[in-house]
Amino acid sequence: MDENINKDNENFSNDNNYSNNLNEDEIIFNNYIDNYSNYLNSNGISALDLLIKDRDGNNNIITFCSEIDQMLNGGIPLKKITEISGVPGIGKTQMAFQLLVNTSIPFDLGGVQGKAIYIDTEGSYSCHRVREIATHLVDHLECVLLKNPRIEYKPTVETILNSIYYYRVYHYIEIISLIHQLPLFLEKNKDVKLIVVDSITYPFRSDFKDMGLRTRSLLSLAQNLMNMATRYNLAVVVMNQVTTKISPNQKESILVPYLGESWTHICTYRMVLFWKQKQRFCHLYKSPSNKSCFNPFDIAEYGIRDVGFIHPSFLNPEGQSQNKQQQQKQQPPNNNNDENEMYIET
Amino acid sequence: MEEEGITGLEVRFYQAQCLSEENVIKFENNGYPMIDLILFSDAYQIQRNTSIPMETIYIIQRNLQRLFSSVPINGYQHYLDIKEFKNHYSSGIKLLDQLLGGNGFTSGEIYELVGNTSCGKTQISMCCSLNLSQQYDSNIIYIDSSNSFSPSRLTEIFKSNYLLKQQQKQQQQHKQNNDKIEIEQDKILKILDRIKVFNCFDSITLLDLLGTINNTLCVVSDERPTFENQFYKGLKMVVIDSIGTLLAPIIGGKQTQGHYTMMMISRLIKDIADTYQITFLITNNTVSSGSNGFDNKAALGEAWSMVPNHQLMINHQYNDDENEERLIYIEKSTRLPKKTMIKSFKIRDNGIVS
Repeated sequence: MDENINKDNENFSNDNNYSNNLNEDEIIFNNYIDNYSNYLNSNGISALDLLIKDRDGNNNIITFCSEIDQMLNGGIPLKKITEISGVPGIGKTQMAFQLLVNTSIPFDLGGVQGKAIYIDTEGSYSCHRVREIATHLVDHLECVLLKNPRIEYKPTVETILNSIYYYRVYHYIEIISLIHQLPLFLEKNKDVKLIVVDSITYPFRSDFKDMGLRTRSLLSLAQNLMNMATRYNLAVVVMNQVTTKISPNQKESILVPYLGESWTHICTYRMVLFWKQKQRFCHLYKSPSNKSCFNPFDIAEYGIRDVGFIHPSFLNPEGQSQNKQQQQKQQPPNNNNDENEMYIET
Repeated sequence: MEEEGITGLEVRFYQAQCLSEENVIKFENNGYPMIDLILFSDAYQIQRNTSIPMETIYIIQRNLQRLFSSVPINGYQHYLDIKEFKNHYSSGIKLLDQLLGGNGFTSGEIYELVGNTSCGKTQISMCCSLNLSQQYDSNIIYIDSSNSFSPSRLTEIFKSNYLLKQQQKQQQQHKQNNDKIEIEQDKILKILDRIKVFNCFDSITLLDLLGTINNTLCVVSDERPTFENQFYKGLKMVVIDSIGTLLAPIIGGKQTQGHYTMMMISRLIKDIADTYQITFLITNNTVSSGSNGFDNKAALGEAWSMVPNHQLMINHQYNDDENEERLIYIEKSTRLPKKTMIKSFKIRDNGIVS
């Protein structure tokens, strides 16, 4: 009997490759379900073990703005959902690009050395911009690696772009089903360390007759994301738009993140980007372990940086990659650069 | 769910107490496999189906009723019992203790913290679990639905509290005891070890988890605890942070199934709290109510609001970083006066201070 079935299967798979793929997926899915039930039966973790787990390994993806990183204890944390919201043009998508690129920083330099998933709902992904940021990152890493010749792994622009998976989503049904399908993908690619949804709001902005249904589907989506974040040890970053809320008594309006009250409780970290005195600021609004505070940041050609940061290649127009040996003999070009290098190593 | 498992209501379990062997067989063969069917069916109907004499059926029904009904307790005796057996646990936060009648949490009661986002619910529940572990050496289960439990924050609270005490001591005695600091800092490891964190992202997992807790507690109270479930012997508090995110996706609209799950969860919580005298601290989020959307009320609706014994509301006004206001007061309580005390608090390095 078994042989017959196998033969049938072979014939079938010869007919079309699609069903073969499906079988493979099914096996992975069954694995996932089996693992899930094991995972549920676990006896819980004591807080002490959690603390020890948190301490070892790199558990953060840095943003390259040292003040934001300090605010978050070293960058966007793995295993958590971080929400970033702000007015249009403030730099949410730029932040996303920077994070995508920074995910592939090697372990030895304090990165997580993984892959990243970008779920695009607004169509704002720009290959050129990501490539630009990646080029600057490679330059920067090379600059750092000169000091540590022992480190062998050197990311190139190609590897960085290779480690980014891009999904384009148009409708809320598509994003819901995508999130349901993602565990399959993650089961195959366990080195994915970041999922960015840019933005979660757009598919859910209209089309809903029943607002209760919207909230429920959003919440279950977020629960799925959270589940993946803990199971596969990855960071989830969700971009959110803002909306105005008008108070009738005070006759003034305030800007609040979209998606209502119940959504706000889902995210573990919450950051609001805003303008103040012609300067971009990042406000950590919600965090279980850090103080709420705000800090300025800047967006330049090379990505997200500190305010007043000057890229070394602007001071040295020759470029580092051409004259490596000269660079090695020279002292670092300026103090700013030195600080930044230190900051990557720690 | 009940189809496969044994519910404990099968007729054969009651053979020794009220039923003779032949009656059991008669009941089982004629469509009365469960005890509740016998209890609630009409006696004539049973007689017609099983051909057991009427008198015997009456006696059986009466015996069963006696078996299941609870026993009246004298009011005064009950008062004395409660005075003796109810324990009070200080939450470690002065203003919260004052709000709760001076003694902090009472064992076997369910407390609910309600407030909008980043108002300090998680901070309060972490502070409370830290203090219970520190002061009473008790074990705590922390059920975390949004991955916001942070052991590093607990260490921070402990350290800064400890340093504060040390400073006060030094001011009094003008002495430095460096050896002692190290000993005390080892203590935090033991404190953290007594807190067990469960990650839980959907309502079914929560139901499962509460079921496991209930079963393990049942086993532990009957027998000598084994190595694995030794933890449950000293269990004093269960924190659920937050129930709103867990249950919100399944209720609302015409989802009766979700409502059913919620009621199952609430019944389990009440059962565990009362039988094993365990304090529950549950955080819940808010939904906007009223036409303008600026008033907040607790999420999950009327049916859930019956579950907690005490509901504490937190109001958070955020203007600037310097101009922040957090207020806490009692919204609903079976025992404590309502809204008479409104306390303001701040979140600092060393936990929650007034």
